[in-house]
Amino acid sequence: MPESSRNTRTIVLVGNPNVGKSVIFSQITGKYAVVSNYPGTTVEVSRCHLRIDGQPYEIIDTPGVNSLVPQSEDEKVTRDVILASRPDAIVQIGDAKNLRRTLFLTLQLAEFGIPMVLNLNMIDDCQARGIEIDTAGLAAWLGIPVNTSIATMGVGIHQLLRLIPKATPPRHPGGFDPRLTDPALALLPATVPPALGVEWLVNAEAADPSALRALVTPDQMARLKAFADDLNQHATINPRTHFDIVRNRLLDAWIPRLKTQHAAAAGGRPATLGYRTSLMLLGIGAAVHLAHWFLPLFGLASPIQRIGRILATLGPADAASTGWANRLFTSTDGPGLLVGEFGLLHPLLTVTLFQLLPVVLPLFYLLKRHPQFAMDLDRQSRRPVVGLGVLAVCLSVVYLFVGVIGAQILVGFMEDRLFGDVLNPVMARMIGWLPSAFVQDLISGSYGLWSMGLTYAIAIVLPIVGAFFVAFGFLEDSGYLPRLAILVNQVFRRIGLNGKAVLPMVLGLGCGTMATMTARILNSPKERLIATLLLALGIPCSAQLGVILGVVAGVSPLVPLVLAAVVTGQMLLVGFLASRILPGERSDFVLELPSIRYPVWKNILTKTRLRVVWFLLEAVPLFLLGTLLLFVMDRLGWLQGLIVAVRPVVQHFLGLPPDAAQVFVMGLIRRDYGAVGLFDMVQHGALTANQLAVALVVLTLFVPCVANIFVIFKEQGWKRAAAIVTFVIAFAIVSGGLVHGLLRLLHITL
Amino acid sequence: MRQELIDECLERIWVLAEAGTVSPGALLARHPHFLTEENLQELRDLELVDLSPGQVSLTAIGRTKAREIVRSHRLAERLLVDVLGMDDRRIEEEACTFEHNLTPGIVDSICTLLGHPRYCPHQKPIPDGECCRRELDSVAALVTALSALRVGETATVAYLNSTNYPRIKKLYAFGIVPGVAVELLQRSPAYVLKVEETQVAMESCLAADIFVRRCPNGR
Repeated sequence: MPESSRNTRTIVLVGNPNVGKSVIFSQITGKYAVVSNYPGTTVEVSRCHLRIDGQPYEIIDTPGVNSLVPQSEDEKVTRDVILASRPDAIVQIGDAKNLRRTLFLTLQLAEFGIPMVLNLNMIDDCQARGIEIDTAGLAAWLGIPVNTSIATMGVGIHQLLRLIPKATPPRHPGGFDPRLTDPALALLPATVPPALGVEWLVNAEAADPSALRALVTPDQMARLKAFADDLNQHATINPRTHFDIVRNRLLDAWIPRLKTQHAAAAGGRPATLGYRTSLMLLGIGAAVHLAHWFLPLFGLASPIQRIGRILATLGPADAASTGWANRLFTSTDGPGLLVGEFGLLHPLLTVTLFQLLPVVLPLFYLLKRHPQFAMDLDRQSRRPVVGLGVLAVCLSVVYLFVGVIGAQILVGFMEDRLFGDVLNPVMARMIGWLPSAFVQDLISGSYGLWSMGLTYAIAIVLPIVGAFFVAFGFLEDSGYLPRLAILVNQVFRRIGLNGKAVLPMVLGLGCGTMATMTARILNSPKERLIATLLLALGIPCSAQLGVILGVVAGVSPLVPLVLAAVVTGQMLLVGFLASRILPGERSDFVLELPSIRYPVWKNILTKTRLRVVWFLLEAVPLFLLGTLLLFVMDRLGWLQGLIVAVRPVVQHFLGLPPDAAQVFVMGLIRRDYGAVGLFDMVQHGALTANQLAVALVVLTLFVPCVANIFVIFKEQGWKRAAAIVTFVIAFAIVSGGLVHGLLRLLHITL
Repeated sequence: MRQELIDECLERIWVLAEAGTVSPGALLARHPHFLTEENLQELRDLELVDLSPGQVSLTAIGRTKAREIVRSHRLAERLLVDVLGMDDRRIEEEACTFEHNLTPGIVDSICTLLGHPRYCPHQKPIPDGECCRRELDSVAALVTALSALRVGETATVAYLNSTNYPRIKKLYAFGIVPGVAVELLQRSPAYVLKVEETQVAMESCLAADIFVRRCPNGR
């Protein structure tokens, strides 16, 4: 072992979920863990090296835990990290205002006998609520250094770093049966925390005692079992909950001595005129915003459409005029200063902003300036009726941001200007130098790595997914998502999931591949499987959604309605059946609700950057792999063979033109590759509205993309992945057949 | 005949009567140690039971006495299981020692404390007492299910009425433990509690397991 790594001391960061562990980890290491305001988002362990006073340290960040008697996969990870790495010190991060939960965990950690530092974070929040904590008394009681911090502002981080070398083993909290620690009995080796050891044993169904078995001899195990049985004989002891009760008794005695509650400093202030005015503005803004969607249904023009029309009249009255007026107002063709693609008033962007800003500006102002508003929103957004209104505004804002600004404006810029005007001509010239036609074809043919794979991934998917990640980061960091979990829990329980699954499901609208990985935060294997299946079956990512919406634009509005109804219905049906058929249990829905807050932009940018980097490094290579696969299949003639093979199904079962076979074969790689083919067919008038609806139902329910399938393999194993893929393809085709049959049977023409 | 033995006999007859009519033969076969022929005669002499051919039944006085005994036994079981967290398979003996030593006043206090439970941990009915009948039209019980609280009301957690240990441990880890004050913030679409300074959302089946003690003055 080299000198340096032998000297390296290992530090483990442990804490309840959502107390700022990841923020502190990033502050002390400079490396960013994914930071969010959603409990349970550190699904993997991050490590980092640094030096304090010349001493090398390895810092390990762990998933948040409420107890070291694990109840879920990620809680198990944290316990096993502590057991396996035998750290030189444990730094516990706690939420200062939730002293009981923090110290409950401290008492468990103290049993390990490893030197500790306790850091009480969000101390400002605590003070704002009039809570005062006697940190000196706390340090004396526990026998370890105690620090306070405000991590998001970087306050108290240096002090924490300085305290880490001074970590001391905590005093044994006491209160347990003395036999547990009696050296004469030697029930357990010193590496195993005594009471926790018994708890892992007696709570075997969730706590997985295999970690314990690895550390004790069979002889000790037998003695431990005998001890647990002996406890159970006691008239008043249930060993499963006994130690929790003992710990809580200790806390009952100590917390009143350590914590003083004064009258709260903030909150309960009368609403000022400014507050009420801003609130009213927000209400009007939201009404105008939503009116844009609803008024056209009644044949009325919304205020925003009127603005759009006025902007349109500002365009060039006469294409031949070259005077200053034209320079100022020219629309799409020339470099106009006001209106036009690069003008100040990009027509689409301007209209979108007119719809977005009346909501977004007062919202940001209120969140930032009026703490009262965060509390009001906090209360309202989890209620059924107002909550749905808040949800509608949220969805609409996210749609405008991702679907219009990302998918239309940004993609237009990337595809036409960056790729079309700049990169593609350069590439074309470089390819011209290549000697072999085969290589030229590989790069820029119809299934070329550049012309199809990279162009598609970078020019179309990246801007959309990037915009989605920004919007998602905002929802995450503001603390809104857990409220959404409350609203959807009732529906999700019917399909075998619980409200927590809203995180992977919403993320799936951005990138299904990433969402499938995030399904790990769900508590039971059954929920993880159902979430993975539904993500693969019916949730199109934003890029796919964009292409699908592009295809249906301009045909009967009934087509998207039928599509949405069929896909939602099928997902509910499959989820409902899966929850009945699959073995295992759904877990209880218990979720901590963090406070609603004005988001920390740095966090959002960091998260977006990390996710975009992940996308470039993990997903884009798989896009290229998929394209390569298509290229090879095309060259070997298999592509044509496959198309011919599926043609009868397409023609007779789905009632589509035989050419549509190609769409579905391409759809095997990515839904949207197929959708592009559909788009061409619609343009050439090769499909009726009914046929388009059938084709889109099949394509939307189809396997999502090669990258997603690969991640399903990784997360669920090849057997389940193969089963999921087979089921999804078969189910998509059968559903399409049913829609075709029904439409024909009922003589419905869309 | 000792009082304790009389109580014991009356209790067994009540329990068997719950399942149907009681024949002397079945009674003697089931409890040969103390329900002997002699003891039954003695009970009849005390006017606690009627012995007709082929059937044993409690007299009005006997019923009243047996009712009290069964009630205190089953309430004691609840107390041991719910509040002390004991395994319900092990409480039989302890509950038996309780039933002879509790005065009716204390039994009613326990009943009120536990929120007038209607079934024992083995799902047998607990006979209602004076306190239960009065409760129907007077003050609210000291211990109630969380669902009985008004939104905005604060109460102290009394016990978690469940043997689903993963669930109990999860609630414990969120700080929902006996003795802690919780405020009910919302009931639908999910329950939201404020524990310390944290809001915890949970679905109704979890909230149904949380029994709380009301704070008379709200704090």
